[in-house]
Amino acid sequence: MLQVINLSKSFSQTSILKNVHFELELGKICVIVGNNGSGKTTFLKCLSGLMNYDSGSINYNCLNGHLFLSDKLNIFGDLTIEENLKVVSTYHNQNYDQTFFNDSLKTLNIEQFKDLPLKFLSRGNLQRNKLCIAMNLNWDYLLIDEPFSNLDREGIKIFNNIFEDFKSKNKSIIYSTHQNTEQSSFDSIISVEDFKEEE
Amino acid sequence: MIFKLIKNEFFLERKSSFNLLYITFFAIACFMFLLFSFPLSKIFDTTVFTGFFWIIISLSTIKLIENSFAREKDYNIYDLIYSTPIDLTGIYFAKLLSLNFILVGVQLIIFLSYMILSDLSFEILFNLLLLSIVTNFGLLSFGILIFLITNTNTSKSFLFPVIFFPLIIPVLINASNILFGIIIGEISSLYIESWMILLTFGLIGILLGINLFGKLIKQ
Repeated sequence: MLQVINLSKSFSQTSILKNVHFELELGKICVIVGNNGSGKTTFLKCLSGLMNYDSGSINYNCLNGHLFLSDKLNIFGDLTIEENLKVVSTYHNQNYDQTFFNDSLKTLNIEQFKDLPLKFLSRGNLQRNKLCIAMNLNWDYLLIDEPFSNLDREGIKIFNNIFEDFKSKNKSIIYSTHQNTEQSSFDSIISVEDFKEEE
Repeated sequence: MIFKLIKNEFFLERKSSFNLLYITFFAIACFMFLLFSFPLSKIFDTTVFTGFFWIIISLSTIKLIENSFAREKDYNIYDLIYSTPIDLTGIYFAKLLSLNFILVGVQLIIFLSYMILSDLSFEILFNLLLLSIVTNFGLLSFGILIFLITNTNTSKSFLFPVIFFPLIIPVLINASNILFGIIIGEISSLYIESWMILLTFGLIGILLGINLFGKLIKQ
């Protein structure tokens, strides 16, 4: 279970997160909502270990750790989808299954782009490439920032199906969005504004 | 694990658009600049060459470090790499070793051209290789740290060389001194001291890198 205890983060004099308490069991999907600049990405970056925080603690208490996919492109532009995955999997000290990788390309409907350098792919397809990384690596908690941005209606549907699939495999997802959550599936929803009120 | 990371770095350098070609071309351009900026009689003057050689290498170091991190920043793979559970020291060493290897390649290209032009014996190549590796560790380790310190500043491309150059002057002077000794085939004055200074720089740079790389990446 992921446990966040008394997490605080501020930039100069501006407090972004104040004494945040947060828990999430395995097999759950949690959405973090909030306006632009409200601190959603900061919270996810603190959870991922990418950003230092002022005080508090974050404990994952799980076997396979976490994977963080930021709202940025997350690619080496000169590599293909598979080469990119190969490099990223090395950083995670993991190997991926070739058959499963081919299946994931089909599921995400990006099979036709597999030989192209990623810098030539559209934003929507790069978003799908990010989920391809998540599908082929082993993790317990997926932290993903704005997963539905740049996606068309079909893409959102595919993403929601994959999220449900992750959930059925007892994996948890925490994702942030500033859009409405009508089309998304989730177990709990948290407003980042709640993180600013001292408990 | 470290071998996998080094392999990764080489793979990325190979795949990055024209990065290797760019650095080699940049170093050769600097070398050509040397050839055209001195009177003919001075070009093969060992004192001039040794000094200019290390200036070329320090300029190449700046471009090499900038390109290596730019590749990660341009398409924002940064977040994905540095949030992994892997020890950041491993990534630092992989970067240091792979960049060192590339820089040694550039040094060999320049030095071999100089050797052919000035009829030097190929036996001195081993000493040059040793000198290059030790000096590169000092240049690269300090270079990476200063790049990361200045990285968040808006005038980073100006600040990085401005801070980097004064700091590496002792490295350049002592590396030139040793290279001068290697070329003329005699032990130059303060030869041992120069080696000690290069080793100290390399060691301090690596130790600082081990301790600060993670913190600077996460700033």
